[in-house]
Amino acid sequence: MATMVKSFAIQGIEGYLVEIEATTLEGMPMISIIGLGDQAVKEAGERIKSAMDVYDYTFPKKKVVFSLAPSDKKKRGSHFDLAMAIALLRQTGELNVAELGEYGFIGELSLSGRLRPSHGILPMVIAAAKSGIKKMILPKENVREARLVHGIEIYGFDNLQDVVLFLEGKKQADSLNENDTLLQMNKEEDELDFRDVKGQNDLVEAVVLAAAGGHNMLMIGEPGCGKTMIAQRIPTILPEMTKEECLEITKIYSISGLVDKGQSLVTRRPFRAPHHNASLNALIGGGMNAMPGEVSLAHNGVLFLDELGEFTRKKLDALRQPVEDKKVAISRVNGNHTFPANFMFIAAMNPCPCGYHPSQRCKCTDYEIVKYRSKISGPIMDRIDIQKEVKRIDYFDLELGKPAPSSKELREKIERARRMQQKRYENDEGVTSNAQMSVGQIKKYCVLDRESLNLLKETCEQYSYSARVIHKLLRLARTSADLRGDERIQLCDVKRVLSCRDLDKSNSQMMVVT
Amino acid sequence: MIYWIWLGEIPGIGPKLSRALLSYFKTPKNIYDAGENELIKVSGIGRGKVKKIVEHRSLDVAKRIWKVCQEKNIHIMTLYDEGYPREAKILDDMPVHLYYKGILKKDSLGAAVVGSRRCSQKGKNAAVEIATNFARKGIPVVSGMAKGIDSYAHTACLKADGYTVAVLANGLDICYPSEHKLLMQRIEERGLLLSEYPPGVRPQKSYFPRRNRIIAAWSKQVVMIDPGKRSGAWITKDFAKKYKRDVKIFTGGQSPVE
Repeated sequence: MATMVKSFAIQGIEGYLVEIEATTLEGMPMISIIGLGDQAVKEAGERIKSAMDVYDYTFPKKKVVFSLAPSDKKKRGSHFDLAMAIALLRQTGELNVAELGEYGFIGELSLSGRLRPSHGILPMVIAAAKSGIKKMILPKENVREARLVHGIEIYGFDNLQDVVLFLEGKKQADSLNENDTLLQMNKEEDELDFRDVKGQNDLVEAVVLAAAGGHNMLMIGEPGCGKTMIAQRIPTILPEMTKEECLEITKIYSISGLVDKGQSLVTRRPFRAPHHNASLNALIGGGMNAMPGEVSLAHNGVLFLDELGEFTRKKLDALRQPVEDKKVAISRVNGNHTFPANFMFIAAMNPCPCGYHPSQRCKCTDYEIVKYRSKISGPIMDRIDIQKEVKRIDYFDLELGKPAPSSKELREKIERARRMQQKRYENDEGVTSNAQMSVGQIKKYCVLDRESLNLLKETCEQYSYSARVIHKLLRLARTSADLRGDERIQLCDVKRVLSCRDLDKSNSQMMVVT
Repeated sequence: MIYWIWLGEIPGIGPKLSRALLSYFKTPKNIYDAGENELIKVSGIGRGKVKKIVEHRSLDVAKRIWKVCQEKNIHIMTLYDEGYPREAKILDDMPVHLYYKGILKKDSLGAAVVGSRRCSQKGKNAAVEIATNFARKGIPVVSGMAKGIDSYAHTACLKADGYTVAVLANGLDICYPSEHKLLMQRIEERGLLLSEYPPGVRPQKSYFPRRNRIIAAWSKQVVMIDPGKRSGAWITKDFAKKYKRDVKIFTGGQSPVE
């Protein structure tokens, strides 16, 4: 009878159980691995044989068959090595234990029998805990990451022999559970702070507005005026992540192999700034074995697209689904994957091809400017609520010496506004922030007084705003009132919100025929 | 009409000689039919020129151009047409026929607004203001549909519901610069596109100064805005002086200098 040992594989960002069987059959000595493994899985045979040789375990002179079930799912990676080796050792009697059912195994073997770390540990261990496995055996380097999961004992080892001795009860392994201390340790102070941003009070206010209501934002400004600097600091003012959010993003980082060696849990909100040359798959996710793209790596954090105009239309249009649905679905031969992609979308662009509009230095014609700006398709523009001009600052201005609000102060403001929203949308399915309000909810929650209404009407007529833009403005006004802690939208909110459409204003001044 | 096109396409025979030939023979067809002995009698026509005319006595090219014109809705105005403004007609270096597209008003003579292609914000504002004023007064705004000042002048005029004339340095089936595609379309719908070049001719460096002389001729006054040192607007100015048009120059949003 064949021996069965449990290991795990990854689909999307979730792990699933893989039952690995090993048996020896009469026939020519050879190794056969079935169950739709990729090249790395196929090559496992050589690694196992060599590792067993190192520790003087006999490799059977028979036909060795490994089966990875479920057999109809494609599997990839080298982390099945350990489970396969253990199954074979038990099958040949080298490993003398009765039952392996409560164990799960993950780990790649080196030719010298050492255990090498793997990617995607967290989702696999979570799946292990779910499927009722009590003890998890994996490479020492992966222990920290694995320990984030509760309700499962984690054992880390250096080499194949240690694992065998441990299973036979001849060796002890230390199994510390330091879950909570780990969480605490990683909460170090961020070195980036909004205090460093001087002379951009208007813009910082708009950023706070965006962060408080989950609005997407576009910054327009000449080169070197601080767009990137501000964007980098946005994660520092977002509310702290809950443990669930941390685990979610760590899972994504884990399968992408981005979890730092010393660190186990990602506790800082991610900031991703892909270059405009990034491929569509790198941005959205994909590849033959669908991997999370930048939009998923920015999950619960900030996705910053610098030089928005340089991104091809195709790439920007592909962003529409994740921006809207907060997740991205990818279909490949190896299955359909859904990755979470709940990010705050921040973009930056120059106002014109030369970059200096509207200063005297700009020598672009209006037709060129309009053409440059029209590179960003309407659907993407539609999803951007705030368009703010970044003003050029004078380095020697004395005013700039004044202290600017720190990230901590701003974050407290934002957290307060977010709490108000959570309360408001308690009973509304699928809405958590003002930016997601439906038209019906806008009618209900964004009531303007006569004075504000008149101002809004006047401005909208002046720039001939569509109903959609007006809805956006109302959502923003709601957030602005929330920031003040007011249930009613006042005139000052409307005024503030109307100053958040700089691009529309600038576009309306273009001398072009339409 | 084919004979008019033919006359324009003979190399070495420019507006001046064409005029001389026309005043002797009256119609282009007569020139085409005339013998060498008769051609030589026209003042300014020497043996070489006669040879040129005789050599090119084929209507193939002209027929082809005429066909394209009809397909692309390009019309031709000749010296004998009423649409050709008198003030421009009498200048001896104006072409004997012009290609046009759009609406040909009886009096399309207007005010030229020309200037730098790379202008400042102030220059742009000045151009817009001046062109709008002309449009409100019902004066056609004449310019060259180049980037910068030219385009602002046309656009502002169209926005103020005015009539604008664009003189191009290429065939009327080509849009140069290409970013003005929409502008060109609007001018065709509500103004006039003019060119001395038949359809299919691409813009060339030397064509632009020649185009400027038509702009100058087609206007009663010329306003220059922010002309750079080597701006083509200076050429327009020289022609304007020659044709005795009023010239005003605006620089950096300042008041006009003569």
